[in-house]
Amino acid sequence: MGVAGGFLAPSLMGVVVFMGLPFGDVMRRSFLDAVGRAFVGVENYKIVWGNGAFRLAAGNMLRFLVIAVPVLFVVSLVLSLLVFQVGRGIFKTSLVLPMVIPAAAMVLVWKILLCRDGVLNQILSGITGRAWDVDWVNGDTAFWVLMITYVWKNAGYDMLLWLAGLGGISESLYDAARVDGAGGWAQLRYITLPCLQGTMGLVIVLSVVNSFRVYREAYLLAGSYPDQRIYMIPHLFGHWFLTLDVQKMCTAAAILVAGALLAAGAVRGVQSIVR
Amino acid sequence: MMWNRMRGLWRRMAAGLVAAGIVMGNLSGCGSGKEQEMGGGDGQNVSGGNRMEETGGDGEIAAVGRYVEVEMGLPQDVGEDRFVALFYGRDGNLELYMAREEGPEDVSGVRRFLREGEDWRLDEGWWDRVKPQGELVDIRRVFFGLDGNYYFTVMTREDYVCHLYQVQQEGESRELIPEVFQAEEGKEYGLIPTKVEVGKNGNILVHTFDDCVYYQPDGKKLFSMDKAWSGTSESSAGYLTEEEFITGAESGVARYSLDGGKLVETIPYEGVKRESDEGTVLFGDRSGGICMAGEQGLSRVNPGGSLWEQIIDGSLNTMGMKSVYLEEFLAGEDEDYFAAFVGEGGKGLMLCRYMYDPDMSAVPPVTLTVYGLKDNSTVRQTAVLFQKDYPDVRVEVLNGADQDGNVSEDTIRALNTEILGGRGADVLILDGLPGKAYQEKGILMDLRDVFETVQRENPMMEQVLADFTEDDGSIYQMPARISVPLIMGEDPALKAIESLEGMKRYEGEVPLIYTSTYANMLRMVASIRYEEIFGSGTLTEEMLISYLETVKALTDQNHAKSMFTEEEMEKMYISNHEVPYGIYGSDSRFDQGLSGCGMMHLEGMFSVILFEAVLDKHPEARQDTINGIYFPEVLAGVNQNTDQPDLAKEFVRRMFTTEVQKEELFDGFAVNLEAQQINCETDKEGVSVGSGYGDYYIGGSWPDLERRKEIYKIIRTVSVPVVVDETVMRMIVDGAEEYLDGKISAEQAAGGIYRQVRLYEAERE
Repeated sequence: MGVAGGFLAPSLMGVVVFMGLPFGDVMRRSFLDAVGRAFVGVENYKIVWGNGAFRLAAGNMLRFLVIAVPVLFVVSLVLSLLVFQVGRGIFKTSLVLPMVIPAAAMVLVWKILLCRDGVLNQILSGITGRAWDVDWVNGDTAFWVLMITYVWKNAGYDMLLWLAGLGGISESLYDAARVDGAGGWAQLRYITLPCLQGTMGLVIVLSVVNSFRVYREAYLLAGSYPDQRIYMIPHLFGHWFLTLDVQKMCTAAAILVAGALLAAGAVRGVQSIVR
Repeated sequence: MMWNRMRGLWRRMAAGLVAAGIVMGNLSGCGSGKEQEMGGGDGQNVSGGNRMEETGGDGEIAAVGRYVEVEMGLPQDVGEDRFVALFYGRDGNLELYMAREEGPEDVSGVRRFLREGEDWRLDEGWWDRVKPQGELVDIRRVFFGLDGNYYFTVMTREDYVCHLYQVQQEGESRELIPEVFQAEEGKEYGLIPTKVEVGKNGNILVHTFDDCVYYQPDGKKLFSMDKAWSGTSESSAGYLTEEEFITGAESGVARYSLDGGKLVETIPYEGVKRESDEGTVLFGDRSGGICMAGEQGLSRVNPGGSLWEQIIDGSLNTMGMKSVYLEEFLAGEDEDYFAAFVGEGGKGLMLCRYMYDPDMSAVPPVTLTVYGLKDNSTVRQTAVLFQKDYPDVRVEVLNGADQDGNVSEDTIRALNTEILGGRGADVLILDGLPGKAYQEKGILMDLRDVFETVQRENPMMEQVLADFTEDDGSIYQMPARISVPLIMGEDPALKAIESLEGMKRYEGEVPLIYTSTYANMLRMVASIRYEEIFGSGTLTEEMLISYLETVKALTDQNHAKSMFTEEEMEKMYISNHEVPYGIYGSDSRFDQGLSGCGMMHLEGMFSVILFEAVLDKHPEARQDTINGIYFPEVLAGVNQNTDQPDLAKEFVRRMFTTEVQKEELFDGFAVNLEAQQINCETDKEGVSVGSGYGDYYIGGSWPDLERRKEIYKIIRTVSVPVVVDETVMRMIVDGAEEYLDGKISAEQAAGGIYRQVRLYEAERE
């Protein structure tokens, strides 16, 4: 423990200094006024909890997590299985390529494709024979556009994680299964997926973390005030900072962390019940 | 093995000795005595020659030595005269030349004053002795040639031709190279030089707008030399020495040899704070250095050198003032400098002398920071006057906008980060900043005591004061200037402007009102119908639909677009530029009968000139304010976190004094009543303004007293401050484009905008 503690100490100190202390200050400020002079009790919590913009942004974030993360999970897994089976050359490289394309450049292409006079509308007009005049980024489809950009951007990265997991599964297991007459589906269900459990946790955690970064694409695609369906927490925080509503930001952060801890606790609870 | 160890040990010892040597050297360099020379300067006349001295009793070391400005006395009775020249004459004395127009039909009488001690002695009858006989002339410039003779240039009134004269020993004058200035055959005007100089050998250098031509005394052209473009017809940055011609070039200061006109070198401007050549004076000092004086101060470089050294900081004295123009700057005999500043029309001369004070701190020990999102003349004017009265305070004016004047959200975030850290500027100029949010968060200081003093000493407009006073009497921000939109037209058009519905329903032979693009039309209608659209405090969807439909009707009438092509812009003489409040080209369209009414955004009496000129041509039209609206400008507030609350408040108070407010600085009308009165009574006879494009031209001169009174009477009635939230305006501009292009309905566009505005409002709940 002594040696391990010694090795852990620098990292732990970093976390305490750069994460723990600031978060402590965030918690403190959530009970103070905007400039941190006067104690206001739980007033900020009442205000933020009742704030329509916060509810909308938090709801959108949750919706995005619930829908986009599973989609990314499945898509990246399927892609990794295909790559693992078919071959890893150009196919793999092309799937990883979105990771290295700058977001600003990528968003420009999305805009050219998806704006009212964009390529997608022209293709659809050509196919259907009627004029398509849909603003894909600023209308009902905004959420799905954002989700596609998220999946497109992150599928390659997650695929690499899956591939690493797949590479760690012993071929002898599949040989034994085939001798026992197991088909492809049975091999996937009884060998591949159980052996990928460790990788699954990592993929989910990283997908959730990356989902918080989707604000960058949302901002570049639709600006500071996008369609309400893709209005995220970072939009709100950005605007609150402009008007120096620091107390609201701190309170909202505290609420979100509390929500995340509750969710994590619930998951662990369910896991322990299942076990 | 042993040898390797020894070698390693020796290396470590050597490294240690070197390190110790460096540290000791630095320590001894920093702490050797109380007084120490900085830089390699050779005297006290340059900033590099500052000394280090202990200031106060706390052991703090600071550089001392700075040029101090002293205003010089003027000859009696020259207040209304026009400045002509200031230079060292034949006897080594300063000579001042002032022109006086003795009547509209009379020639300019030029008076020559010679500096004697601290006084000026008038050289009686000088002009009568030297002036050209038989012609009515206007003096342009008097100068002392390197050949030891006096010269002057004049313009004849009858044919507007320039003439160069040399003053003879016996007093009379002899004309030189007249053929150079005569109009060529088939041309209306001859060469009008921006400056003329005479070299040691009597050769004559004639400056034009973009080059200088060197002539022999007999008029034979020798060669020409390129120079930076002169923006005005009466000034040119450059000077002759015995062997060289020094002038401004595109990328620096150019040195030409007078032996053939070859370029010797171009000294880059690197390190020199300069905004433009306008108001820049180039001159040589007595040690051969090249000096450049301007708004930023005085900088000097040695011939062959490349490092400019700032000798005088213009932000600390009259050089940085926006209300005066630098006409002349000279090196004196005692390591001092002389400067001549003038006001509008070359009148209102101010002579300043800059003397080195070895005991004054090189940089004022106290800094007061003023932050705004754009460069502002009123703030700069206040800063200079403030520093004159508080020599120990340096006012640092910070401009948050980028080089193109653009402001991003990141700029405001950076400011907010500083404010949250308990820092930030002492004084905030809140134009474009979230002033209301700052006020609500307790970032701004209550300035009621400042404005009690202002009202007691220099009363400002009551209604403006009331508009920015909270219900409990507190005051957090106050506009130092206001701009006012005025409208002109016949009654039906003016009646239509009174409501959105009226504007939409207007049916005239020509469009009701003009502006260029969708964005400008949206901004203009939002500004002039501000109370109707935003007055209830909440923007409703119905109101948005009405507003958008009105704009659609106006843009359709005007064939406006979201953006014009280069070709269209050239053909129609318009631009895609988004202008403040959207008022663009409206007066000229009305003048040409292309719109039912014309509007102008007035920021001072200068902008009234064209408005009045149009009005003069249309006796059927009348002028009016638009429901008494005005635009607050230069909103001043004080940061609650400032360490210097008294200084910051004093700075704000200064912004509202008559001394600052009486200057026409093109950023709005004064709010100070006494300053308004002074401005109203100020007659700038001879000032004229013209504007035109294609075949169209409109011009006018300074309004007469009656007109000025009328304008100020209107200014004093405005009572509705219009501050359109830029975020909301941006949402409207972005969201309305497709509707105005006819791609979606008004309801669809309004719905989209409304949802965004609601979200914006929800964030603030």
